[in-house]
Amino acid sequence: MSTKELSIGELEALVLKACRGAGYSWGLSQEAGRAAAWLAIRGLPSADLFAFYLSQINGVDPVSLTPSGLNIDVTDNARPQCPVMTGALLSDYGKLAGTNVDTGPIYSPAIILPFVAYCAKSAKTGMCMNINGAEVWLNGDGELTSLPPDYDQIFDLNRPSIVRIACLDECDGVPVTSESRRAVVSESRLQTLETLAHLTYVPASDQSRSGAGAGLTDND
Amino acid sequence: MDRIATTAPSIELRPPEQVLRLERMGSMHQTRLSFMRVLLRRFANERWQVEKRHWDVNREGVGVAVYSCKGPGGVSGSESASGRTYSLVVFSNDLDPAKRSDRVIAEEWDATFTLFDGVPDESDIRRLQNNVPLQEAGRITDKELSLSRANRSVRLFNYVRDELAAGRQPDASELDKVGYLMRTTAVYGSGKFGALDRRFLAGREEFGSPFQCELMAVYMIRMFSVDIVEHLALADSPTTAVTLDKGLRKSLGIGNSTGLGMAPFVVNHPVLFHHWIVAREKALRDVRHVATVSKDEVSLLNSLVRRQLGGLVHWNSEHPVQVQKVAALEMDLRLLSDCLTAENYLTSELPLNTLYEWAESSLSLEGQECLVTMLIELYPDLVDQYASHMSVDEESYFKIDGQMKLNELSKILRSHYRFAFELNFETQDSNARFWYASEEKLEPRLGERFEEPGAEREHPLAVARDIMRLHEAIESKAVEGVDGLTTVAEFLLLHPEHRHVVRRAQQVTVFPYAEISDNLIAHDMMPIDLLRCKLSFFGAIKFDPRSDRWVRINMFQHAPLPEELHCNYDDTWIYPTKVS
Repeated sequence: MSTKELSIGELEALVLKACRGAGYSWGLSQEAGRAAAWLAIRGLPSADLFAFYLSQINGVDPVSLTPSGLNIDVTDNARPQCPVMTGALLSDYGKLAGTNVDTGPIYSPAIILPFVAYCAKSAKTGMCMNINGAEVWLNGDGELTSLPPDYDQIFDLNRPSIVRIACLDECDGVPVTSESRRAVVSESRLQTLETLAHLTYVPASDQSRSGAGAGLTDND
Repeated sequence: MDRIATTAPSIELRPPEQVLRLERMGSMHQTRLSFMRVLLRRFANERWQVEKRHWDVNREGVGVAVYSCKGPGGVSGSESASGRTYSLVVFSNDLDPAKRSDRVIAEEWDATFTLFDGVPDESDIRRLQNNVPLQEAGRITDKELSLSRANRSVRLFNYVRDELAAGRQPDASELDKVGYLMRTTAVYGSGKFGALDRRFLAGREEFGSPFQCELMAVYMIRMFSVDIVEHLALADSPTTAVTLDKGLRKSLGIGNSTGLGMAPFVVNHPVLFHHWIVAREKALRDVRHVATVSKDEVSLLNSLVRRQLGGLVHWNSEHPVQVQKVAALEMDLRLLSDCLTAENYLTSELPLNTLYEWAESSLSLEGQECLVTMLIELYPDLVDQYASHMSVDEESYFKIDGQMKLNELSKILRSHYRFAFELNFETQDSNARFWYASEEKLEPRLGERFEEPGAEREHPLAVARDIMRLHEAIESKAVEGVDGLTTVAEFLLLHPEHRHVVRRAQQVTVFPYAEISDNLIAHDMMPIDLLRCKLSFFGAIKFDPRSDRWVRINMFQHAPLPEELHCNYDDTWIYPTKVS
């Protein structure tokens, strides 16, 4: 499978535009771009994760995936929800209302990881996320201190899952990820993101071309 | 500081709604705090070595050159003491004149450049050779910090080449008419086309100010522009050719041609923009507080006014708005000069404040902002400290406070966006434009909403309109269960379309200079005002609008040559020395 390396800025812009192309508001698309950058800088799957998520909800209006809130009673056939909106809701509150929060069933639940990290950092408290039985720990700086050995099981989840988030008594812990300057994306996932991003561009017209350039000669 | 008046009334910062009107932004001038000047001060203070390292260019001007800037080693307590080297790798081309265009849609240039982090080896050069000349169509890596290209200013370049080949120095007045041999048409930095992201450079002291990589590259491009004309002159006539006189060399900067691509930056980086503006405003406030002005300071101010006046002759533009502005500036500078030579001037309490207040009531905006620049120039010891506060970790201020109540948010809108409440978005004129990205080159453009397709793909730069929409959504209480005590988090769950402006509104409470106090989609909005403001912070001069959305400038004109950086460095280099 061929891959391509992007700078973090390119990845952030691409995910932002892809989400916008998929029907997200600008503000939520900004959240998604920033979350993608957060994951990539820590060497975690990012572009692939977002591409998979966006292809999973292909054609669905994101508004229909709005979470009804946090800590709601979840029934077996509960409506699947959006990880970006759920993450943004968590981050907006800044800290967990109680010591524990359960999300509704969310697509690609690993996407909420950066948002939980913002909460941990903002509340200066360690947090633990349980996704489908796998645990992820964060310290009070919002850095990852523990990931399951096979963390692909979290990033590759292809069905909506509930995420249990708990505040920890301790906020220390040594980060387990190292800084990455590049985001690696498979060509096929890149294509998915670029196709969606393309929906944010306006096709050129004679009028737009004439408006963009100099009114006078630019070759002197 | 004892020269600051402590008993006099306190002078406030100029309010955002005064500073951040487009008309004033479009009249701003470079200052001591401009990024280009910060760069050269660092080069001078820390004794950076800037030199040509490699030159392999043929008779037609095709080949590779490498220039480098090397930081000092062994100076304790300074991050740049590591003695890092940054190299400009140049790919020089023999361009078919028919292909020469400043537009971003061009595909070939006279020369292309990248700033390399370190010293490139042969394999790096080979890799770059396959990519840098392609610009947007190529890829660079995390070893590179910028990507750019330049075209010759054909008439002047050929004139200088011919004169040097014939053994003569070109006429200084011909050089002054243009001011540069080459013009960059894009200088891409942080993360663009694969380059290293700025966030990974933030810890290096030499990149503490914004855009230092890009300007480091431009300073070396300036060196290349003279080296290549001398090289071609020598190739034309090996027996007669001479090199360019040092004084003339110094009188040449690097041109830049900038279109709409740069305009959205200051809107898309509100927190950073606040830091730029507030640094300049604090500098001005401190200078207005000065209790007494020494004879030397009056003399320096006088000399700056004369030098600015002298430079106006070469501030060429055919754009009617700029022609008028330069004419007004000339009158303003003469008035100012008369004031300063009048007896007992600058002897009142807070003399520079008196002068500034007089300027506000007597001079054009162009003249007022030019005076701001000169006042700031007088007091390095007061103002230079602010240069180190013009960068910020924007990430830290991204988070929305979801616990805020809508009542409070509404209050913020009414107090920080007063200008928006005075606009009427029911009219076509107020809604006339929309910002978008073109499919063709992915460059930002400005469309006519009621004449062109594509408004549904509008970018979120219509801040004033979107703020008013947010205000309406909060106040209309049309949504069941939403009232003043509803939290922002609950509101945004129901209304995600307002999220981008809620973030801005919360940022502006902490960073009041984050927002432009004007309607960016009005029918008569001039994008060149945004461009000029941003470019003034770079340190650009001689703004020459080519349309309402396209401007040419000069960078590093009169700047010390590399060998002049370490000996009697003249920090006022940017003001022309000739007086007409």
